[in-house]
Amino acid sequence: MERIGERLIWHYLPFTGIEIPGGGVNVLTIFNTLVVMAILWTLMWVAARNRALVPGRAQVALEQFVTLFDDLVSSSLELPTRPENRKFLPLITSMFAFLCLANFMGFIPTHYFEEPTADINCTLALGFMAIVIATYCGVKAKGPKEFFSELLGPMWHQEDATGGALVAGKLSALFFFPLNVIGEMAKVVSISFRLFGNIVGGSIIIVVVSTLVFNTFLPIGLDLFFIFFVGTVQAFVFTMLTLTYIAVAIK
Amino acid sequence: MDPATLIVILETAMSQTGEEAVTAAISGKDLINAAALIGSGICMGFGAIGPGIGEGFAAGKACEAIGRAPEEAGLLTRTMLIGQAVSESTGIYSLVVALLMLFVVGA
Repeated sequence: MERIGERLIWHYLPFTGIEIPGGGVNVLTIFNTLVVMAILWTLMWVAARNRALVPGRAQVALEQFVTLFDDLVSSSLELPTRPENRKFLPLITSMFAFLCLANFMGFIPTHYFEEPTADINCTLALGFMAIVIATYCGVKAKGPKEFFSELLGPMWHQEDATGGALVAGKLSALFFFPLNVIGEMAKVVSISFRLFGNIVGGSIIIVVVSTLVFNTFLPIGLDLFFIFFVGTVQAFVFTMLTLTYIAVAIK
Repeated sequence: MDPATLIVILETAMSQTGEEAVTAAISGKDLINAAALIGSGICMGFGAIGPGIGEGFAAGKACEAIGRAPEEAGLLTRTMLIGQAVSESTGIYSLVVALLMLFVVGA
């Protein structure tokens, strides 16, 4: 229990004295990420192996999964045509699938399998990616001038009675612009810390309660709630928030 | 417990409340540890109030809305879960701060 929150970090390459630049590498996070990706690739390969007009069981499951997210993306973005909505479908679907499986990794009761999302670096990278994509889509949809004039606050475009620019409105941008930029940065922190805190908090509760009660059945119930329910809900929330940020940016 | 024992215990307790006794008992790293443990408890306790009230409020309103429009239950549940997860984030921040105090400051 004293090792909660510690991550295995390689400061040197194994069997050599070569130092890894940037302070080291979180080995288990990368390993578990690769394991999740391998599982996902295997599942997709199995489901899409024998594609047919009359689908098999795996293909039906995969089609259901993709259709669910297709409807979700269409109803959230509300772009005029379906292909425009479908441009965001791979991002959203793969993000949910990856995060969901990554949150389930804590269920494997071995020392080397832990949730990649219990590492703040993983969630920060994903959150940063989500915000960068949302900002890029916003700039692309509205044009850079329109997008950045929105950051200058609501009073930037105000005019006086003769149609001239209002000095007070321009000056208010000095207040609104830093606020909006900090708000964009706070999105990264909030979206990534939410996932990280939920997963780490759940795993700590599982460890503490299992250590205290020496019970066989209670930890299973705890696993069911804190890994499967919370993991699915948090993966879904992360995905939906990414989708919402994109939708807000492009509207 | 008879009065004599009580008086003895009280006297021992009183005799140790001098400034030297206190600083000898707890100082330096121990003081930081104690402050971090108490601080994490306070942080988690107060941080859990707001999200608890907020999530309960959201769930209650969602129940009302589902009662009025049962055919929209799926959409309402989805929106409720997202709203709850967003309002939960302050509680999660306090959890992260409490974990920092427990395992980084107080370790």
